[in-house]
Amino acid sequence: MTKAAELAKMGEVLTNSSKGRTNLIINGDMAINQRGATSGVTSGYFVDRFALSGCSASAVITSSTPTQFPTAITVSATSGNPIVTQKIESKNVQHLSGKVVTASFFAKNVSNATTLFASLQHANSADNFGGTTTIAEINLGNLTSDWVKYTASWTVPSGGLNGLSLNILCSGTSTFTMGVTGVMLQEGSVSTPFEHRSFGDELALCQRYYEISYSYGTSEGANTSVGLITTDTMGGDTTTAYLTHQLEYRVAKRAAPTLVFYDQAEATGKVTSHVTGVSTANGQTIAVEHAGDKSVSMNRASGDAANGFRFHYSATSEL
Amino acid sequence: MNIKSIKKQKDQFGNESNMLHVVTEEDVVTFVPTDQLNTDYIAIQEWVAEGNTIEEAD
Repeated sequence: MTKAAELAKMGEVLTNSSKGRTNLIINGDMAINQRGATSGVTSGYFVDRFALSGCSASAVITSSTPTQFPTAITVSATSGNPIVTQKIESKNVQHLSGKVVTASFFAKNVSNATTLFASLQHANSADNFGGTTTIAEINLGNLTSDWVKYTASWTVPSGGLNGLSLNILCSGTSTFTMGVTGVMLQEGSVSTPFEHRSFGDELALCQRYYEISYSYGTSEGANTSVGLITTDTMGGDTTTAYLTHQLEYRVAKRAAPTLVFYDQAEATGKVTSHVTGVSTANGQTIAVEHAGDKSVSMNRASGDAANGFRFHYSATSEL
Repeated sequence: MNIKSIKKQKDQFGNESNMLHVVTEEDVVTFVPTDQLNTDYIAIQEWVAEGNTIEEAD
């Protein structure tokens, strides 16, 4: 590219770029992994915000990554196409109708993966991906055994304001495996270098869709008292009737989330009651009400004599 | 979400709660809000459309 062409491209980038965050993808470098699984996943969410489908062999987190990325994932299949997907909520794409967007990501053939594809879809109604429309699926050519940066562009139709879904997939032979990381989707026709954000910022972005009470690095449902939520108590008097707590989420959710509560014996739908400084009792049935995107009311209607309770939780509001 | 059973809940004043008590095939107890933007609630509506029934609250 000549210097003049390079300057023209830079000008195009400046013109087309919005201020603020460039990357519409959350956790594009796949560093955030609140669910904790590092292998054994064939469908559903894996590293935060990325869902898998079409995988007939498990996905794994690999340490074989492009230089600037700490994490990559590999996905495998024996037929069809293993697909790595991130859905973007409607609130984050309202500025894109009629605009060109460009995806970029690193991919490689780990074994027997041949052709790479990227597709962009939109939900047919706001944030409901039960029905989708494919804007276009683009053949990006043959994968190689080296990490290569690939790009693909689409023009977002008005239906794209319902929310977008970026899909990265491959074909192959026998049991085939592809590696992926460094995923970006940005406004404009030019791919800029990957936007590295701080771990804390990225974690907070992920927690809009999934958060847990457990410390980072501890998976949901683990047997640990670290991070237990303990209700306020006045000490002294106990009751076998109502104990209540207002649970406020660390980050406001995309929508009122699905909740799972765990007592200290890892039983779901239960909490552990306590008499402060004296005793605890697992298996206390919990109910919830007034669910919102920022908080929910919990109550234990009856159970062992206690003056408070403790629990772990997950709150999920994925697309 | 692999649904085994769903039951409505009442709040502490006896009114219907906006959270459903859902037991999955894996016997995990979850609470799903009756929020049209929640993907699990969308799945529950499809489950009902297939002829399944949400139990009334106790």
